[in-house]
Amino acid sequence: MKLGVGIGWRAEIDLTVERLDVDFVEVVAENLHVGHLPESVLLLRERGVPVLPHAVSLSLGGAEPVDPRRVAHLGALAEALDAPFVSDHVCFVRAGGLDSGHLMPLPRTRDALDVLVANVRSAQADLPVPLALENVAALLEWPDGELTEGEFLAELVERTGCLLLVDVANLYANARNLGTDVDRFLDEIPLERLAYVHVAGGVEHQGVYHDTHAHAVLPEVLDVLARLRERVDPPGVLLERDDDYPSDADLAGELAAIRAVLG
Amino acid sequence: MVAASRVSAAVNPAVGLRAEELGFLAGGPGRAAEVAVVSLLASRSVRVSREGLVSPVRQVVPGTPLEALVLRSLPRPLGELVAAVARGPEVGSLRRGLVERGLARSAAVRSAVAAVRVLVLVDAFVLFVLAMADVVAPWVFFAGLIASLTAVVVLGRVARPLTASGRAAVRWSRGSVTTRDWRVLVACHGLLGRYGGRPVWEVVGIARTASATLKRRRAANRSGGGSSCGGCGSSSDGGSSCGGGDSSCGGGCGGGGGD
Repeated sequence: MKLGVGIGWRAEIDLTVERLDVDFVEVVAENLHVGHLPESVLLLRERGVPVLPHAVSLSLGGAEPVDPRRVAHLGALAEALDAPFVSDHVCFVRAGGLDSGHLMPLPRTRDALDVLVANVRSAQADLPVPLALENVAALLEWPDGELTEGEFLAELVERTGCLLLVDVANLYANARNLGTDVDRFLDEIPLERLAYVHVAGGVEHQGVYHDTHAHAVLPEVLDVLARLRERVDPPGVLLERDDDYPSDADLAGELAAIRAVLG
Repeated sequence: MVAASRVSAAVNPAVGLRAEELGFLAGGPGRAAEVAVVSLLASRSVRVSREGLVSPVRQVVPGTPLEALVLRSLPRPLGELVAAVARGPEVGSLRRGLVERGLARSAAVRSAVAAVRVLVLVDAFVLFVLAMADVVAPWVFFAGLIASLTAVVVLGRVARPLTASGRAAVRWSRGSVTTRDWRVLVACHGLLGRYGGRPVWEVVGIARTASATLKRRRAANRSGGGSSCGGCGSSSDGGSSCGGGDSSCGGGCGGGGGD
């Protein structure tokens, strides 16, 4: 499915999103109620703009079983928005009853992959649409990893049939902070299963790059997008901005820059 | 609609009023707060979401103390923001400036005049009782009654929030309203007012759902049993003589009070 260039819909910039020339939008699933969808989101749907629910709380990589209520909410949202697919992250966000408040990276071991695969299959069984999974930005790597991140994702796709949501900003952050090889990552993942791509801004603080979603998109992140584009024509690319929202003109400029990379 | 990003500080050359001051005269503290918000909106320094959340767009140097207060209060729903800014000390300073320039009356003066009006009415009642008891002659009672009523009417005019100069300034400014200058438009009519057959909130690009936060706040004020007049530490809420009659406390703490 060809999506085009989109932006993350956020309540603070709803009118801006409506004004911008975007082909699709993404909503954070946990921020919406199926029975009370924002007027702006409904308006976009009436215009025919695809709205993709993006979850952050399934904790698919966690040792605990997936919460069926969270999966049901995501599925109900997909049906209410007539979304072609939904997404979450390759991570865990809670353990032992505690919520991390962050998307925590998984140990890239076969045991961790088995747990992830089981949880993904469980979620897929209860979802009415396909599930896409996103690579996260990490500030640390668990020891004793058996697979590269690309191999980990490739095997996940092979065993579950899930789609991929590639965040080039996360990939850039990992390259900068952890030394991830961008080209190797892009070569290892099955790009034919690519659902869409995330692009976001960040900033370096005390030598560490933070994927803040609150700063302008760096040219280096667009360069990673260009390297992905050399390999595949992505179905969609979405700009994520979650705080310190700039002017409409600035956001339009970032979308134009993304379009320019896509050619 | 193209907004005037910045307008001349002196929107009314006759008295050198700034738009926020004009808003205060025309609609009270809330109206002044609305002007500050709309001024920032016009310069694209803030955005108002469809649901009414006001958030900053970029770092800007505020043009007035009220604008600075607005920026310090973000992000916040529009109705709450206007109410909070209207209660701020900056609005008190604005009111004092208008009093000093002879455009508005101070709360102390208005309270004193109101007290005198009550005394006059009490006097009239006492005179009535004395007349009924044949202690005073009927002609004395009627003369006293006429004098009391005259005093009440005169004092009533003195107790208005605005002076004659203030009312004239508002009248003058209303004649110069255009949709190109959002600040003066909102100052004179309020976000909930209408201009050219359209709601003012619509003219300045605010969504209906966002404007409803102002309406809900006004309703809440009423249901709370408090008067919208004189709230937020200000005694001068109402636009007065533009309507031709007594002051109408249309503003309240949170502004609104559109006409």
